[in-house]
Amino acid sequence: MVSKSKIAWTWLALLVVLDLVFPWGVVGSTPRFTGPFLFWVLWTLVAIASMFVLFLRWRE
Amino acid sequence: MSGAAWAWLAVGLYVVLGFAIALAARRHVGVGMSEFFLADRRVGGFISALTYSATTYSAFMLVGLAGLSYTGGVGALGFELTYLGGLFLAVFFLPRFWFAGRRYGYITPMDLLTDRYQSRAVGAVAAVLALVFLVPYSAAQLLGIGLLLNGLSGGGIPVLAGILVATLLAIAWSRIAGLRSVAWTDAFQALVMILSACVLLVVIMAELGGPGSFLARFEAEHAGLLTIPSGSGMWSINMFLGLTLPWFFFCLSNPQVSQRFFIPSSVKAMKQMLGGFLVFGFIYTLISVLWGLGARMLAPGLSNADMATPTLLAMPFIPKALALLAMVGIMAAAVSTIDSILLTLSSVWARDIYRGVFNRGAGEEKELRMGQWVIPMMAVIALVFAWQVSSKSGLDFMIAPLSSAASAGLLMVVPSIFGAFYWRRATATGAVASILSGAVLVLVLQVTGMKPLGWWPGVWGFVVCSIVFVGVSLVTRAPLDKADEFLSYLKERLSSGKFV
Repeated sequence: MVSKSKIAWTWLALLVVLDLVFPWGVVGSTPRFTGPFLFWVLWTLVAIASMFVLFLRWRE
Repeated sequence: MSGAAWAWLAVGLYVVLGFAIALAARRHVGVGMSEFFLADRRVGGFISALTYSATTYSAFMLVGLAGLSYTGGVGALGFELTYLGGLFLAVFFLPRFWFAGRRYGYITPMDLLTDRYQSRAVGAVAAVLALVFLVPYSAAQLLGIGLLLNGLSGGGIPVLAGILVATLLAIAWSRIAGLRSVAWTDAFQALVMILSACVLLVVIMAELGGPGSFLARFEAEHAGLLTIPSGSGMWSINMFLGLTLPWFFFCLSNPQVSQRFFIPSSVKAMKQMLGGFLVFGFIYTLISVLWGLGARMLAPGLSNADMATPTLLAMPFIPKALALLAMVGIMAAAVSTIDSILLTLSSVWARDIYRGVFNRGAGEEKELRMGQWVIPMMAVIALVFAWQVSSKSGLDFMIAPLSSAASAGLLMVVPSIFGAFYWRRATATGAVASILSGAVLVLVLQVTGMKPLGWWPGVWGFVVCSIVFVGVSLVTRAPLDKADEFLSYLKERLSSGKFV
């Protein structure tokens, strides 16, 4: 079974790849707030939500 | 009253309140290194979150990042939000630092490296790295205050006067009660920062006809700034990576931030610190970028983009009281970062250089005195650097790139931190060689202005120091007994508390 730690590291790596690929390869030329601006806002919200999912489980 | 007189009055009120809080914190101070530099590791979640926020976010945000947004548009948002995404690293490293700090009594992140690698050289080299590269970072904060007061007073307050006031405040608030006065004043300053920024954003948006009108007008008038690599081609992937890579690892590489990993009083406080910071950071980043974009519409054609915020605040549609509140908020952001840096550097000097190298038998009282002595010295060095930079212009001397360049040097300690927690075979020789080779390369590239193949110094440095760390570790002897004891302790604690 793959450990939770490995899943978390893989998820982080995927987020980093998306952070570069989407703005430069997919939405970069959209001259509107629905382009890179919206992408980065959503990307950050997903990253923050992921962090909350992981650290809210912590116990004393 | 003149603009300068109003600005001085607002600064005066802020100073009085700050001193009242710092002196109140002094009543709770005990004795010893852990007490002075870590508040005895008993800081609650709310104060931890606010001091982490105020330490991380500085004049860089509402002056530097707003300026970068003014010039480069949406790429600045991606740059800063990528930093926030990098906080994912804290999910792994925050509990590791916290457990190890409690178990082994570490005062500084370098102290941790010294013990884990069983080598004083590792801690000392990492300490020198911090002392060298945190000076330009501190100078960028001082410069931010100088520019702000100068802009808001219509030139009535010289840049140097603003720099001097910020330096004196940072010295005082870090000396009065160590981390207690820094954390308490940080909490006050973080609230001023976020509240003033929110109120001003509402006023700016109202002037632009409301959020809907602002978005539509900006798309019509500055469409190029919403694209990547932007209309001017500024945000090449090379530049983005060059600025962002040091930022992504900021929570590990910057000791004034990673030292905060030692201070929460409990696991619950740790969770509140991380969660609170993420919410604060997301809101503050959006506000800073929208300020910059708003300034582009309201005050186009500025020759120095770092003047975007001061120019905005001096505009007639902004009520004087609100402009002054925002000015105090930005000043608070800068001072709260500098005093934290000064405090961390003084602990690093005392623990990792003075006791680690020069006087191994020094008692805690003498160690503490040595640390406190360093606070004004480092502040004066940062002041001189800021004064020198204030007369220069161009992208390299804007606050955002200057801050990121400083973090590029600090980035060289990251492979050693990863190795300490994740690689049993990591060695002291590998860590020292990695930090030195990376730091020298970054310094040479930054001083000469060279960017081989178009890649920035931090990227080259990080690649080289990572390779050196792994290569040298593989051919040298690791402290396996310590590694096994250290890693098995952490493994046990982490698995029992559902940490990743």
